[in-house]
Amino acid sequence: MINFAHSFPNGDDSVVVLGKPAVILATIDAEWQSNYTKNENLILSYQFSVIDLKTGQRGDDIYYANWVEKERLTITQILEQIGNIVGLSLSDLNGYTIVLVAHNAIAEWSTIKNRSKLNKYLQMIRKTVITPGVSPIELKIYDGNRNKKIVKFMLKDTMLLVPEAYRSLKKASVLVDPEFAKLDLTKEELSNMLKLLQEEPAKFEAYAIRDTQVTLKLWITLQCMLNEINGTGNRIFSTLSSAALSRFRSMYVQEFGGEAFEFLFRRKI
Amino acid sequence: MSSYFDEKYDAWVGGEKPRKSDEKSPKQLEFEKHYDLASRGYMGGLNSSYVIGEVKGDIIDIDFSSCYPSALNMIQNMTYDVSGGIEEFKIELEKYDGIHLPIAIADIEFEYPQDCLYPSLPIKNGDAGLFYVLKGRTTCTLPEIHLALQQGCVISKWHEAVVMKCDEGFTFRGFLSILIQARDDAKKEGNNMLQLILKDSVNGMYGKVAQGINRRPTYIVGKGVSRPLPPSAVTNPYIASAVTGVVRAALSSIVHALSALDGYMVISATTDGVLYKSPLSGGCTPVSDLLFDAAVIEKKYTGSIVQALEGGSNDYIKSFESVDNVLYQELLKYPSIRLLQASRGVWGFDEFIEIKHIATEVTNLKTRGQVGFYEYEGVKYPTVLAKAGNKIDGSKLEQATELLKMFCDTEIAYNDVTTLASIRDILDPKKTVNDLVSVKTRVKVNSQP
Repeated sequence: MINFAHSFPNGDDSVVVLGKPAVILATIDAEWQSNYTKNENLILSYQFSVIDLKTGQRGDDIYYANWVEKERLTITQILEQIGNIVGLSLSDLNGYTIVLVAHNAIAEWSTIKNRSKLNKYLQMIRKTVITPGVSPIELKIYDGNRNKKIVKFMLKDTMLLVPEAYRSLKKASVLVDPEFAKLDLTKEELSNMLKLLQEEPAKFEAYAIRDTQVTLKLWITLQCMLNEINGTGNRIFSTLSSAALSRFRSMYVQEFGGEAFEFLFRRKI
Repeated sequence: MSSYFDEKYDAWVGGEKPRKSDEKSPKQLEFEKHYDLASRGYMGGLNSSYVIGEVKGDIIDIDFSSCYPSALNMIQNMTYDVSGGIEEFKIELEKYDGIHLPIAIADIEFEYPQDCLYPSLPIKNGDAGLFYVLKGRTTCTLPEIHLALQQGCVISKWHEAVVMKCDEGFTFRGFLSILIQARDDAKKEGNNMLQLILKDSVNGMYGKVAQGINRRPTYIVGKGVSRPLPPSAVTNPYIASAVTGVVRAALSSIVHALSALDGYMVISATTDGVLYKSPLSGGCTPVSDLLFDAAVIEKKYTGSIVQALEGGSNDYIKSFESVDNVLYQELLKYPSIRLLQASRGVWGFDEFIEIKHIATEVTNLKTRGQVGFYEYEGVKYPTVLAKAGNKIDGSKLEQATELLKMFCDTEIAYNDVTTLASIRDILDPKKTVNDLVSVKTRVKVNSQP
């Protein structure tokens, strides 16, 4: 779907070489006020970093939710926001594959208004959720004129690709690029994001958008690295162990043959 | 080829009943019997505490380098030719020398001598880990039975056994060698991210081999129910049991060796490492001369032992071979330990056991719960810190102090712990949680043995 070596030479996410596939890479992050009520969060904003690999358009944006009305975006509205950033309407997304990436995707999934629509496609891995495998799911969405559109969609999580000791976005981002790490907020600010939004909106926005930028950079770097290690080039890896398994399988098949692999691991009577 | 195991796996995941036994051929039945035996022989690691409370002296925390990958590296391609059963197993026992890793599992009844302090045959105890008892019945691997016999254990009854024939090819060696070489290169180039990814990839491979064997439940988001985790593309109970079995045998070999040597004391064993007290200094040689690598301390810590102790790394400690050569030489008498050494040798590494920590006093709270300090020039530096599952924040010294305080409290203590709601909580209609909110719970402090 994405030829990482071709699209991002030397793993550099700032250089995008356009390819044929209609693929949009997008990262999502949401800010909320915790413990607004005992059991619910108050969503303050959604932010996105997006690259259209077909046209080369890229951009970041933040959508401020109407928190007074407890607004939340639906999956269709999220796709619409992503499309808008790279100049595409919902109708234009027909035929596109949207690879949506988050760091700790369960957090972003929990903010989606109609999240149950995604549930049947999701797999839980290490306390987060992703769409499993390398094939996208097909989401039926309706544009403003109630016309049905099919968007191919994947949800992936950078947290499943970083080494065990570097699970936090802060640590992982420093490892990738110390000059472009996640921004810091104090503990007090983090526990009162609504206050930060109201009193220091510029700081809030800078912090929020940096998270999606860092996640996008991290995901591209990790995919490029894993494709290089595995000698693949165009695989989207979901977890480190699935990447290791893929590498093992190809090496075993190369050394002993495909039938030997089937014989050893899928041994039947 | 029939799809018997696909169906079995589907049955695990979908709850369908397996086919009736009368529909299976004798070959299927035999294969299923051996497969089940191998699955029963698959167990977790040895985790035991042998001393509770404070121990003072020259205390060393060692572990096998890349333990599970090293065992995996010795697995040879199975041919699925199974013959001989119990008799062949006994012949293989005689031949076990630590050069080859046999894939052989047996169901036995056993009895150790009454004075055996450290029996080494594990018995599964549900989710509560492993029991090590003097007399009982278990299904375990050949290296473990080999060690038990060395300890004077008598096998009173052989129920069944399987010895898997293998060809000359090593299943994982090509893959592991390339990744380990790449990790070494990444380290030299200072590519920290890549070397950590490669480390996790190497360690993660064993997990894929064992995935689904114990039918651990996993939550199915779309259905709102838990089902056993399905196997991976490389799940294989024969390989998984052989790998974990030889690691337990190697660790039990260290425990056995320590119990037989004068002046040594085993404190605890944890999956791939052992904490023990050694008679190293003998009261006359300064311990620091024996332990610390002067060249590393000079180069990395500006010649300051204090800086090295505060650094939290173990790179300033000399090799295990040079620090405790008496124990090192003793350990090489055990085949399962030689096997792990040989495996590391294949990758070009001389070192296969490393010292993780040193201490002059350790308080052993329970399994996976130890606090240790190294005293240098009158100051105690925290070195060993295993928190027994307790969530404690702060510096290493603060955490060590808090853990010791918990241990010394005679009353039952509780901790307020804040965690995030799980997806299961969020989706459960019976619960009031609708979001990824913080959930406060009160947990009993887990420090009593």
